[in-house]
Amino acid sequence: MISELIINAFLVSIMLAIAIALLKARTVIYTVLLTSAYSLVAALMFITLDAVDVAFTEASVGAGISTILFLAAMAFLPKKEEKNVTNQAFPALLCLTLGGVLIWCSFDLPEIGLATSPIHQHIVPEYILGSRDDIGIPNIVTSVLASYRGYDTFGETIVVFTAGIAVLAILKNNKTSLKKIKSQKKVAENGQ
Amino acid sequence: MISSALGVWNYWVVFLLMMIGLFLVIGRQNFLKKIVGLTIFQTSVFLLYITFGKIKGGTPPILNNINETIYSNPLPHVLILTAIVVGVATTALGLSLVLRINSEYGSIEEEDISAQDLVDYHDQIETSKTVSIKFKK
Amino acid sequence: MDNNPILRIATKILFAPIILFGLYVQFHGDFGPGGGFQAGVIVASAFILYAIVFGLEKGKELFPLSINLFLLALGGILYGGVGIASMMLGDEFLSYNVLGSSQQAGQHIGILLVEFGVGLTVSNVMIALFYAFASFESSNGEKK
Repeated sequence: MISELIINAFLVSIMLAIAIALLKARTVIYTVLLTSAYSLVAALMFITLDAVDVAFTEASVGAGISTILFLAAMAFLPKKEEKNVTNQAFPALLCLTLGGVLIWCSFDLPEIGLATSPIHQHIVPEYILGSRDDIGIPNIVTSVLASYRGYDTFGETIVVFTAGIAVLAILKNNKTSLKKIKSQKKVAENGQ
Repeated sequence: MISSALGVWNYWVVFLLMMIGLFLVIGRQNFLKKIVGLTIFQTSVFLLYITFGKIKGGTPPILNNINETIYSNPLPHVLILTAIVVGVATTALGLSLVLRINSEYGSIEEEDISAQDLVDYHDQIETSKTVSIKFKK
Repeated sequence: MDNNPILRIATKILFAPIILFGLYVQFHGDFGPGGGFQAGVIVASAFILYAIVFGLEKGKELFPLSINLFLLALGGILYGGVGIASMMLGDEFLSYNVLGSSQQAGQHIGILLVEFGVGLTVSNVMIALFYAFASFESSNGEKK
């Protein structure tokens, strides 16, 4: 158990290091690749925390497809981030305060891996028994995902569908840009 | 002692990651950086959920034939599994909005864009003034 | 990128195994890690790899946009259709027990169909997103 926790703490510290590097990153390609690395380390963490399905998803979706989309979008964006002109003290102070409060509250959270913590008590034992007896599928995650919580997954699928349609709608017909239409209108008005 | 300190360390780093993500969203001018901040925030929330689901000495929630096996909690896994895919879809939506903003304004820095909007706004006021003057004449 | 022989040949060799692996993940999701979400992304990555290496035009020849949009909607309809079918057979929405001869058989059929619907939607959304981003034409070319 101790060794598991040490691996955990090590991986989570790598994630923290990557996030701090992201704060300093100024070029877009560096930012995108750091985000990809962050997702990959997160996937490793999920494996040590027994969430194999989530690790699989994070590795393929978070580190794979999301990086490809960022790179595809990067081709049309400025390659460098400009220096901040506004004062960053206030946002930093806000984040530090909020983080301090959260860390203070973390002492009330149950210790990691405690089998008696509230989250494990309610409906999960029924799901585990039901997956064996009622559904007959070894992977409990799949049976909860598709059967017990089928409504949830239906909603998520529709959200993914809607997001895809929305991206298609936003990126289509870019050639007649809104500003050009406005300026043409202006010219027309001035002409009259 | 060591195990409890390590046990809390996980939560602490998750909260720090959350705050770094929040800072990238509210403290930075660059829209792409803001979206990356959202991704960081998202992943830290995923980590928090999965950390809650872990049980000491548990196995991944795939049934085996051995009795008395302890399975880690599958419910957070289900929630997070769908959330990851939805997260990428919404990130793509945000990226597409950034692309459109860039093609409209030629910049993805917040200051630039609000300055351009301000100029447009004053232009509009002036044109409406001239129009009303013309109308009076 | 389409002049590099290593990339071209590696893509041609890898294309079918990636899709095969996607199908394995899709239909083995009941027994091990996997399922519709992961399988959809893996299948989409095969087509995206093809489109990156051989160019967007060739990619759209292999997997036209019209089929892509059709399958994109079909996945969601398949998922909802399973729910409607279970309603028609006299149970609640998305309650799979009535779909098969026994309770377990019904659940197996229902979960398989639903996961397939999820896989279809996710893979086609990812391909559509890539097509949309890759074929985006910036209109501010004259400004820079």
